Amino acid sequence: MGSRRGGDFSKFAASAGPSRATTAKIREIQTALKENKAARIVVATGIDLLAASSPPIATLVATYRVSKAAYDIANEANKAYQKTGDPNAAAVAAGKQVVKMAIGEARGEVINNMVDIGWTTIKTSAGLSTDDAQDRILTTALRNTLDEVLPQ
Amino acid sequence: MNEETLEKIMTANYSRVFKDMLLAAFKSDPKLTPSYLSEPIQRQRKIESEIEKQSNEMAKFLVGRLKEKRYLTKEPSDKELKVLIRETLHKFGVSK
Repeated sequence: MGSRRGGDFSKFAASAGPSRATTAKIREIQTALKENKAARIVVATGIDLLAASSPPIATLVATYRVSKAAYDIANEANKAYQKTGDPNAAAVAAGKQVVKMAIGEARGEVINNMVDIGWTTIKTSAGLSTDDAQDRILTTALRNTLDEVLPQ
Repeated sequence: MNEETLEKIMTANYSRVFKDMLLAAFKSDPKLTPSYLSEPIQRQRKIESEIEKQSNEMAKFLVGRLKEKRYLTKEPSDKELKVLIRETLHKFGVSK
């Protein structure tokens, strides 16, 4: 399953309003690029940019709750896998637990549908209040993590 | 299924979110992206490889701290999570 990018970072980071801190951090990254600083330093400056804005922090808080939800889904899939030994049946059982209906037969299809159709349910049960840009990042991560951890 | 599985899921998920946010910062910010894309392709690849490495390390560090605080079994508040997230970003960032 491929990774989709998180969308326009400036809209994402500025959803709480533009800040002098983020503008200053962007300048620091531009300087690090211009001065041909080591990749490690350039990335560390990028990490400072994440720390300077509220939306990335809020997304990282939400990541904890989404990971817990992913654990519950994987747990359900694992129980079904113990009974059937079939990764597709395991994914179907996990999908049914999330959206209370059948959402496909093949593992990959179920994972995609579970995240697409079940995202509102997952958000509600995890108590998340996130915007579209944050949802894009969180659902991409969830989809790929489920693909990695569900029985195959 | 146990704490070890939760730790694995959380590390994988955090690593992806860190990576996606950092890539978005470099590749889809109207102010920053032109500077980034004007770098030689080889350097861009090097930075992206470093993003992947740092994202994995930040995820491992953060989940390790969550585990130390027993937050894998007991759900922390948003405030408690933010403290550890800021600590992680601070440790891996330039500003000390």
